[in-house]
Amino acid sequence: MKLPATSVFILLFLLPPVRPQAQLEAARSVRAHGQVNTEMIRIPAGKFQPFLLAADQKHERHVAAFLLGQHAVTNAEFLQFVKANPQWRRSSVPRLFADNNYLSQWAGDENIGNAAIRRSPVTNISWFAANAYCKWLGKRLPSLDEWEYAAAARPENADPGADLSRIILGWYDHPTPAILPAVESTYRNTLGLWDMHGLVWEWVDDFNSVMLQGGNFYCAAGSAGTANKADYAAYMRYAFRESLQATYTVGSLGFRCAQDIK
Amino acid sequence: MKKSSSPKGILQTTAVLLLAGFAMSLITACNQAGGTKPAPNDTATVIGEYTADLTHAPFVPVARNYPKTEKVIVNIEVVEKVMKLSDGVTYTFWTFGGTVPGPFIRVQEGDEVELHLSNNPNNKMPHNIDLHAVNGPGGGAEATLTVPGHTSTFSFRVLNPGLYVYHCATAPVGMHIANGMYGLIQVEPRGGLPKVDKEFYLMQGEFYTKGKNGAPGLQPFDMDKAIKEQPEYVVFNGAVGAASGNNALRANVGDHIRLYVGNGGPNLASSFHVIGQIFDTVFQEGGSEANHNVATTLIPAGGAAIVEFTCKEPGTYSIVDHSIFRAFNQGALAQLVVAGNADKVVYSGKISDELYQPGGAVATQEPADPAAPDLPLAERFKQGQQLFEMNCSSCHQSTGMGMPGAIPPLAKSDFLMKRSDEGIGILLNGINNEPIIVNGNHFQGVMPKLSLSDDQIANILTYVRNSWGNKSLVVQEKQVKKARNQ
Amino acid sequence: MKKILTIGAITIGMIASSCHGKQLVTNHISCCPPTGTTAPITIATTLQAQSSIYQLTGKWTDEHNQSLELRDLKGKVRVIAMIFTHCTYACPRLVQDMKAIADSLPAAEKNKVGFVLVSFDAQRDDPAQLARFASQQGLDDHWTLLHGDPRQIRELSMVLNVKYQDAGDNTYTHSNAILILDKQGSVIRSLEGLEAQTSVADNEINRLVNR
Repeated sequence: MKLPATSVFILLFLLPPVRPQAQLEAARSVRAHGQVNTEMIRIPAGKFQPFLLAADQKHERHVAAFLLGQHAVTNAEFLQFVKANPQWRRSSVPRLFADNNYLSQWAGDENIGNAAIRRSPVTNISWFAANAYCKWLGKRLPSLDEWEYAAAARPENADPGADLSRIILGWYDHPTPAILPAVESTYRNTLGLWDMHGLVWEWVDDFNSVMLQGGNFYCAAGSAGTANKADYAAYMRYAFRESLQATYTVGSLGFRCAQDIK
Repeated sequence: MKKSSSPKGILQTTAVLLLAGFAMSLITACNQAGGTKPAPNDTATVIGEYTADLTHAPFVPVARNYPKTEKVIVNIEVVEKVMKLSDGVTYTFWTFGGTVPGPFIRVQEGDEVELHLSNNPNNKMPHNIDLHAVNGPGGGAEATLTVPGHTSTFSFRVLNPGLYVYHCATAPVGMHIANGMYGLIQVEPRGGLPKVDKEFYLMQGEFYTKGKNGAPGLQPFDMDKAIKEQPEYVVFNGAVGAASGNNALRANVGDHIRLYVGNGGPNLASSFHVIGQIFDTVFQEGGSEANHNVATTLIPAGGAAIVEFTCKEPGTYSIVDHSIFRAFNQGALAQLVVAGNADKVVYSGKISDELYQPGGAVATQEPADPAAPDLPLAERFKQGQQLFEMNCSSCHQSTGMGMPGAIPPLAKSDFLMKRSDEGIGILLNGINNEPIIVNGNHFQGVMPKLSLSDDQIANILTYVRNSWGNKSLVVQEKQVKKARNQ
Repeated sequence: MKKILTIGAITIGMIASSCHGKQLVTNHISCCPPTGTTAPITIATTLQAQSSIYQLTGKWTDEHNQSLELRDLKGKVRVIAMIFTHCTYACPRLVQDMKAIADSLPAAEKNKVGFVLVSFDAQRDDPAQLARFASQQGLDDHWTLLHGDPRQIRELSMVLNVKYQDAGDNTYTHSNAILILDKQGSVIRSLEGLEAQTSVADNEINRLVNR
């Protein structure tokens, strides 16, 4: 669990200065971590209406500019992390940090096994594991607001009438395939991010800030604003986060890392 | 708990809890003040323990009838899976126990139920269960919110006898119910219900698909239609035909029948009716008051009813939602087949049919040919292929080769291809052990008469007559209609 | 022997997670049934470490401006809650509940139990503010008040299963829980809600102190 302080230091040292350039231009930050080659996209600052506060205009949130992984972390990328941090092996991870299904799709401690999932998003990882992976790269998990803000961007080249909720609800409508598709297999949004919806759920840093259960959640599910389709799609996400704990691992739950712009 | 700073949020929660507590104390007060029923014996010591036998519709677990209060363990797994909604139509159902409706739970008044809700690891969604038989917040929903790959456990005392709906109550609740997450729990009154000959479990629910009723393939859920309460399908037991035809409920003349009927909704109330039967007894809304001599009883969404009747006459009885377009156009039709001897005193059958010509003769008229549009071969072929796979391929095989000595081949079949009626007669009437010769080989057996529409028969024949080396013209619906009317 | 230990570890993991499952979604009393089903008493210390929250690393600062890590809390039974000092409703009640627990402990146990308050509010609850709060509330040296950075606070909330949300204007919406940790730092009980459950806590503490 404990990171060698020097490696963190070197990491930070290696970080290229991020140029605040054109909004949609990708800011590459390729790091010398085995095969981990993570392209980060610069997400411009902006305003964002959190779903659960939709009824109250005053609670529009400001999101500062930040970097977000172009795609979810893959099994192959996560393997590099496990090799470099043996305390995160399947057989070594303390139960405080991950439940029994941690990396259960892999063949062994440092063996993905099925080659077909190498480029699929890594799933069955706990919040702690995702958090540790991002830390290892000098990054962090995106906040719930950051994630929602970035995920709300429209699909690139979408029909003028196309609506994000169609992608989301379409994903809900189909059972999880036996082999998860590879990253960058669904759609890219106008920010340049791949698969924000329609491939896997994704951990966010403060998923445990969702507190829907205080009475207006089960019986009056429509109470948080109008029952439009976008609300429904978002409701599923918030309900999913609500049901999680940080040690849980789920076969359709992955993550991507974020980073501050300094 | 929206947008609240800490104190407000807490106050809200507290208010909700207080309200819930207040509501519960009201209920208790009502029970006592009502005076018609003794206060439930909720403090009885639990003696013994067993794991509940759960059944899938249309079957009902046998009532155990024990004198003591027991702990009953109920294990239910939530599974998201693709199943048939109608012929050629599939849907991603979210299910309790792999079926729609979910398993029937039968316990006894006063029991302690320990419910284990498992969410299959391959599922995408968190799920939970709200049982209307629970006295407590969310009916168990709060205690059972479960992420895929986990199991939640909670226990409750069943204080109130009756028939209750359970359903998933994870946000958005409507969608979880619309996808099939409901079932029934029967809390048997102490001493049990009177013995009957047969018990069945039926549950109505509606489905909101993107495609119109009958549009083939895997159909996604349509939120707009759900909000407008305009379903494409209204069905019993989760699919068109799930309790009719070969799946019909079966009984004998003289049987006393009890139906446990639920309505999962999510939106529509059901005008529940069995055509040609009168319910001797109805426990309306699943409650304790018996009403008698009822023909149609209203079952609200999220509600249930127990109906009882005696089969006096043989025949096939249609079980419908008497909001009748739902029965004829959307699938809300089940069947009860009663075997035995007719009693002409109870029901004569048709005695005569004579001309009725008040005020002189009426000019006879050929019935107008109903609109039966001609469709191109490619379209009928495509639809026909799906229908063939659903209805025919298990015997005739997808290759059209049949099974030597048992099922005649369709591929290059002289028997089929040389028929002047294109084979329409076979699909309309079936084959009833008449010996036939196909490509020089003898066959004798039964091909059932399938309940297919004229349009569907045209599609199947177009497919069969243009596959596996067969070649002919398209078969149109009007040809089938004509043959049917002859 | 190794095998047995492994099985033991898995069992503990399962017990812990099933308890947590309830704890997440109930607003009342506590996560685990009152007796008999808490973590087995006979497990080896090394295995207990599997669920010890003292595995979390990172420096905290207490109300005396002393730097410490969570593992420095090892050795005593700990009663812990997450609060913020500007909170006007729920947090004072949580603190009151903890004081009631402290006051009801037998003299012989007092020095074997420590009380810990961790602030959500990294910005305003600096060590000086925590010291002011301790003095206002009359918290003696059995108490430790901790200031940390937001990332550490989030991590701690995860292992304690406390939910919170920064409501934006320096207030926090949060679940109300008092947790009891054994000497190795494993969460043994979570008392949820705002009703003092002093006797439940006392019984648990007594059991853990004498383990």
